[in-house]
Amino acid sequence: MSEEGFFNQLERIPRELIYAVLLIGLCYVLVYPVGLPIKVSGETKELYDSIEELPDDSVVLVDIAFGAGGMPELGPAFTAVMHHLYQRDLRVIVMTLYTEGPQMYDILVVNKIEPESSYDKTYGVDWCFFGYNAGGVTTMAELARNMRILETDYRDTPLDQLQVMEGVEDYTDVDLVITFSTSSGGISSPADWVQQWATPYEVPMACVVLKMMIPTVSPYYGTGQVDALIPGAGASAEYELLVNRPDEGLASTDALSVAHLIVIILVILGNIAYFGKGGGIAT
Amino acid sequence: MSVMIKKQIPLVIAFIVGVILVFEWFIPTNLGDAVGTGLRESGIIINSFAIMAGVIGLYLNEIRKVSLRRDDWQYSVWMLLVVSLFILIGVPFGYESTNYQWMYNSILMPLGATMYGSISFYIAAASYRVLKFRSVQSIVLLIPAMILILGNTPMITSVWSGFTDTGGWIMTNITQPVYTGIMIGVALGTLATGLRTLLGMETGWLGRREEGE
Amino acid sequence: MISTDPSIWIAAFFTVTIMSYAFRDNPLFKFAERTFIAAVIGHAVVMGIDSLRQFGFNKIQAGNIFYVIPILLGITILARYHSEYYWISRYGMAALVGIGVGLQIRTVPEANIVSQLTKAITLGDNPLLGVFTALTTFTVIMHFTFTTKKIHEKPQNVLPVVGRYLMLIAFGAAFGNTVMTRMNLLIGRLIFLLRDLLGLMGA
Repeated sequence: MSEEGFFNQLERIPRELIYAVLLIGLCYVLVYPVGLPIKVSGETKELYDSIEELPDDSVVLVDIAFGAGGMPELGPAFTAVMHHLYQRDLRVIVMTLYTEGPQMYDILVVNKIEPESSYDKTYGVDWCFFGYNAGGVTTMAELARNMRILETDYRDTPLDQLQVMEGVEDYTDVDLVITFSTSSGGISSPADWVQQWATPYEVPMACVVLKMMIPTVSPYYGTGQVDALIPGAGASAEYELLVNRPDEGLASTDALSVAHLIVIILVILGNIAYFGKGGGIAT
Repeated sequence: MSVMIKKQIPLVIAFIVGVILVFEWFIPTNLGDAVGTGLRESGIIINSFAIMAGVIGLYLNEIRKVSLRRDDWQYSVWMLLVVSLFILIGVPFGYESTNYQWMYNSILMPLGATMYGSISFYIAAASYRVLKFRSVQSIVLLIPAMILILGNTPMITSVWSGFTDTGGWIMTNITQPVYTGIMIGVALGTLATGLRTLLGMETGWLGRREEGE
Repeated sequence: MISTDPSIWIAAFFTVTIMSYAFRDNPLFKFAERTFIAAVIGHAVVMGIDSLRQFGFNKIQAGNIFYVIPILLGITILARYHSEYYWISRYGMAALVGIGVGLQIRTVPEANIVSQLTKAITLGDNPLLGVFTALTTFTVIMHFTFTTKKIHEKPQNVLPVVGRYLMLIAFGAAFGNTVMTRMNLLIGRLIFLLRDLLGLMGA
């Protein structure tokens, strides 16, 4: 085969083959993991420390702003962080402005973490869930002024009857807000939380977002409006290590490595074919 | 008179509501606070209806496709069935009911999760076909991309942290200030558009227009 | 061990049909896609009605007559699809637009402009790096400034051009992050297929 023929062949690898290599590579390493060690990044440790340093009985407001689309990445991170919150003696208020938020709560908190049996926690005393509200940023803005605006939790129990809500009237009674968000500018985005809570009222805020959202949220982190910012991908594995709850985050670490290596190899192959065929760099 | 009822009065309502909320923020008064709270609580309720408006559009659209026997009209029948099933089970029995949760876990959850995950196939294909060092600008784009990709590879970072450190430096000292500049520009645009909307110069939200409006 | 739960099998069916589009468009993908759209809308209606019940109707039952007004305004929004009385929906939309714009205008200046500009002009611990990041932010802003065309004329157009190249670096880095997100989402679905359906992965 001539050199030119080889590079022509190299440039025409069928996409089906690429997809098959990707799928087989990922499946293989998921079934037979390598188990290489991972390092905990400074950012993940920052979020961990901000929860760890909260005094007992502190109030943490957790916002579920993801649905099925973000669950593979944010689900493991959410689970790991919630494990941490339940390991401490804190009051956790879970809320959602996402239509799929209640389902994420059911799947991840009720059915997976099972706080009552795993941590001896009591609903209504140690944590509560407001349920879904369709108000979007309007609800978020109003909650800062009146935490009882929704009046009942998702079981229609009046908030006044929940011990966990005792003394929680407005933003001054919330010690930390953690939002798990897939939204860059839509409902319940980190930008909304920064605009409605963190900036005007200086409430400490942590954001766990999709890795690809890090650039758009990082300006808030740089100014200190957001105190901790971690991506779901990668950081979920690190957080699972910190709270000693290995789960999907750690399980996907090797597969992430294989996926990235395949992408790098494909870029290199594509460029070898391009330059081998005589392609140049246009100025 | 007709234009006043159909167009002018809604524009005035938007203006008054927006101005009240802005003034309530910058000039706190008891009256302003009470009115502002009332407006915000109203917004929470009205938003619920806005979410439901989408289903009416879907029903009208798909019923029209079925009645006119347009291409793939059979899928429209299926769509109407699925929407109706979700509503018929979810509304009377609640989204917490076993049957509704079963439907969500079997249908919506896997579809939603896979829809966004399948894009990774295209990223893999694009890495091979499109990401080439064919110009100075593409080199400037691709080198940080490769550094970040390598820095996000746990197998590599567990052995050597150089890519992670370099990627972190790029993110902190270049990406963050760049997105700060973009954020400031977008915020100025948001303010300008918001003011134009309140003043009635942006009327896209009015929707369909008649002649003379 | 392979799962015998019908729910898992249905979920697996939809997972595979969505992935099949990567190979080629096919009727099963169309079926899955339409199912997704319908399910999203159906679910949104269910949640919207529940939110309305919890926040609107319960309050009216408790005696707060005021909440009838926003409910009536909300109902007007549903008129948008009527051929003759579509304009009634503008009343509900006007309230929503006014509230949304009002909430944005009052908080965006401080959160997105003042705070960001303050950070941009703060040199920090390393003055040289501080100057570099400040220049980065301002050259990017200049790149998008079209009010005065002179900014983009030589010789001063070097600054917007520098901004453009810095943006390329930033977007390249952002793409690197996007790869990780998308791959992670795919891996999540593969974990479901391998662990929950086929039982090939440990717990």
